[in-house]
Amino acid sequence: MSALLEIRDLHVTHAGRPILDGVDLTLERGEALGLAGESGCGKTTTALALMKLLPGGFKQTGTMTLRPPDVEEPINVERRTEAGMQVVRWRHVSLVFQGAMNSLDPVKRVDTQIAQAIYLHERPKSAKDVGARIGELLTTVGLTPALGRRYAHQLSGGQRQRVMIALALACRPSLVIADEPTTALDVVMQAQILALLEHLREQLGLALILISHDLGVLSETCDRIAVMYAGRIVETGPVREVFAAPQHPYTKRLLDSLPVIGGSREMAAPIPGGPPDPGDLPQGCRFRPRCPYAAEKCLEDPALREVRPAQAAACHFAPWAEWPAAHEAAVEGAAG
Amino acid sequence: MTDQRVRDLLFDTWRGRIGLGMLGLFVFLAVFGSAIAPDNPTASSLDVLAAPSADHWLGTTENGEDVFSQLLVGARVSIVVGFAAAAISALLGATVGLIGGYFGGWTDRGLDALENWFLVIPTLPLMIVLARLLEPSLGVLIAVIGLTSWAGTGRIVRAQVLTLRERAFVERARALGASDSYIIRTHILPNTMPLIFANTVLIVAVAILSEAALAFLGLGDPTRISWGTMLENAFSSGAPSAGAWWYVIPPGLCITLLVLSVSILGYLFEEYVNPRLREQPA
Amino acid sequence: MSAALMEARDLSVHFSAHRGVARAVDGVSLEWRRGEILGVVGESGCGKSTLARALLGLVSPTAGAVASDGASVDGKAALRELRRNVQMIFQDPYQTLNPRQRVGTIVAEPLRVQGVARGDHDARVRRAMEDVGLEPGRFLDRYPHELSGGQRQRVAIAAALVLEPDGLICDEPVSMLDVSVRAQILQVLIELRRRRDLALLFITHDLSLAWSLCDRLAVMYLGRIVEHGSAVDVIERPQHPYTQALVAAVPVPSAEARIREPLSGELPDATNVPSGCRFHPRCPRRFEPCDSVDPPLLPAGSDGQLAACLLHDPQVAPDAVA
Repeated sequence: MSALLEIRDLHVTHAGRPILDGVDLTLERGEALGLAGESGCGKTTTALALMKLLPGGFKQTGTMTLRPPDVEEPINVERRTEAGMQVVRWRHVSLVFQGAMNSLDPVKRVDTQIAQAIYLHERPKSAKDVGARIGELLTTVGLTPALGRRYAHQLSGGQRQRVMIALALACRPSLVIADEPTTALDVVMQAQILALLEHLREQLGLALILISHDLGVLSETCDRIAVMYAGRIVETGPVREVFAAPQHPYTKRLLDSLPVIGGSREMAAPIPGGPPDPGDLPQGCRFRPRCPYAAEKCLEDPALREVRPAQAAACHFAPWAEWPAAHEAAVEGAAG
Repeated sequence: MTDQRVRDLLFDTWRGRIGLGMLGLFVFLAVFGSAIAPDNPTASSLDVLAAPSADHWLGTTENGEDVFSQLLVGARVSIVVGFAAAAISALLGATVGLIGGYFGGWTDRGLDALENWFLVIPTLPLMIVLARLLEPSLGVLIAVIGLTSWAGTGRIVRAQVLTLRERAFVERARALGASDSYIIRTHILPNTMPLIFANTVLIVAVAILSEAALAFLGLGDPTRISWGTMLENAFSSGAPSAGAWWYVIPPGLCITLLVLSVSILGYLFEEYVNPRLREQPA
Repeated sequence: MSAALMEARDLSVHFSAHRGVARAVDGVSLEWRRGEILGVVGESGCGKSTLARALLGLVSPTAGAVASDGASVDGKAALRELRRNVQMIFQDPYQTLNPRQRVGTIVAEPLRVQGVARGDHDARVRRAMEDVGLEPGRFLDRYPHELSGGQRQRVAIAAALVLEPDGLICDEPVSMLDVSVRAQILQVLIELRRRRDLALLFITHDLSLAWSLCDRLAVMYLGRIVEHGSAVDVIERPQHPYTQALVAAVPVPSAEARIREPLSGELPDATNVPSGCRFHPRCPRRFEPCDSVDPPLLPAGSDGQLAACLLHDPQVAPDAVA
């Protein structure tokens, strides 16, 4: 069965600086993929590139192929013009933006905005059809249809986020990208939204790309995870596997810095420094300056390769059976 | 650093250079105009409405006075009125906006009502009425223009202060026990200055035009020489129909150019202000 | 010297909103001891930030009192003294510094406001900056927009340290920072606690963080403290149904899949506090008296742990298993 989405060799530059550097992603129908990483790593850029929503000044190359179940011919997104994209956006792929709960139009009612989305991307048969669909959408996201008559400021944060999800589902896409959907929400609301997304996946057979810097959030909802650093994917694999046995030092450090209730209360030493500036990238492996296991070999660019079944990492010394403290020992031990 | 960016905008862009250059020229004229004028601008002669010549580069007025000299001297009035009136407007507007915005409550409501009153009054008719009622001296003119244009600034400043008041660095200062005056001085005012400035520069343009308009309507001091009075005199003496373009066009052109230079600079400052207000991370 | 650094004594802060009276903080009694890291957790809107502001006098209490070192904070002199001893750092590093001031000026501000002798300023500013890991030579003359989020937060902490306070109130200081930067800032705070015996009042909605960082923890719901005790006890053995729901809602990057039933509904508006136990409309374990009786904090679970739940009242629910 062919994959729902295949991104190959996606490069994005801005003012000559590389923002995304050869990103490859595959997503099956109904699968949930988590895109993890800190700010500046390129995860939001990937989502925007896929929807061709990058502002002027950004150049992108690479292929992006969509094969939605209800379409005969595969859609080559990279070849589509702006007019052509109008049919792809929302109808096949939709996006819940970061901080979306604050981007509802404050002077329009909720149902008007959902209707707008529908009219923009489809040619519905009648207004009544649209009305019925809106009611259905609101119910699907756990809101009563009557809330459609309200304005954004009359809804709570959690309700607004649900409206954004309803908006994303308006044209029945087969893929939804959610960019940090729970970042501004507290733990209880976050759990509710994640449960909702899980429920929608089951009910609608939706594929999901979930972007978050919170690995905990991703572990709950996703089947697979891709960890990004400085514009590249440094590790991919099934969520449980990656968390149980990370194969890239960055992933390992990220996991280490998350306190797990019931485990050790000792805070792991923080990763020193910060992510590199796109205009000033280190030679070879981009994580090298901050990596406790860096060695000579790391001046060479490591390719993303399969190191365990279904798990790939961009590190010369992967697979890592264990994570030693000192780096000489690490380099020796992993050389095998 | 703030200065660096301003300097870049002012000196490295064509707009900045042209605006600054023109304004600089007019300010120079305002200061030295009467010193470098070839003739006494009020010296009448028998050469009435004469076309430009070697003796009179821009010809003469209906009284035989040298147009060029009048032009140079007239710069002073326009510049003085423009800047002085704008300064009054800025001072009034900023004070009202700061006090109302910072203290809120009934103070704000009262000041806001006052502001609304001044915003709603049609400025030119008010100016005309006041100019008729009061002695048409330069001081009165400046005061009148200043009084009728402060409300816009007040509005903008108030809105900005309302946002600033809630910012964490202001809360921090309060948590230290800082007094209101300290907070206004150190935190609120400096962050509002760019806005006030950008707005005021545009008011300069308005003030210059207002002076010209009032003079043109005959409400200025007739003995004063300004570009506005030149236009007034030109029209009332029938210069246009006599084909005396050298009398009509230069003052009008000067007014236009001065206002243009100020406006260019005003927009330039607005540009500087805006991205700074949006201090969001990448 | 066992007097607490700060105490809230039956503190209430009510605001009048057009919908009614918002009972942001509603009868909170809390003790923050010297040298301890006290956490306050709860959902957004539960009143934890308002509580912090009330402690520092940024908002006036409607009822109850704030005490410092055993004495009630009354009047200007006491407040001024308090503000020398307890400082605050805020959530958004991008809003916390005046964009038109240089770092040196920002860090020295508390010294100016509190009237410390000019001669001392330089030395104290430098020491504070070194303590937070910012090299004075490199950073004193910078403007905020030249700094990253983590660096800005460090500047804010340095400014809070320069008066050598006994306590630091931290209102979500790391929630807007990236994961790796977060760890760096937390390490700065922990080091400070160790070296200067600084007490921290740590407000957060991140339970995992509260669990790993804090000595003791208070859980707030709709203006009230519903559970209180050592951080480990409260989170590993929660006694109040709300705490239990919060802990259950924390996503864990573990190797086993988890099926969770999240708590339904949302935090009610502070103008609309439910009768009886304020949590009862959402409580999965509510029973008869819960909608009419407002439970006080009762002993529950381990020694020193308290929960405001009738399930722990032996007179009301003698055989309830909490």
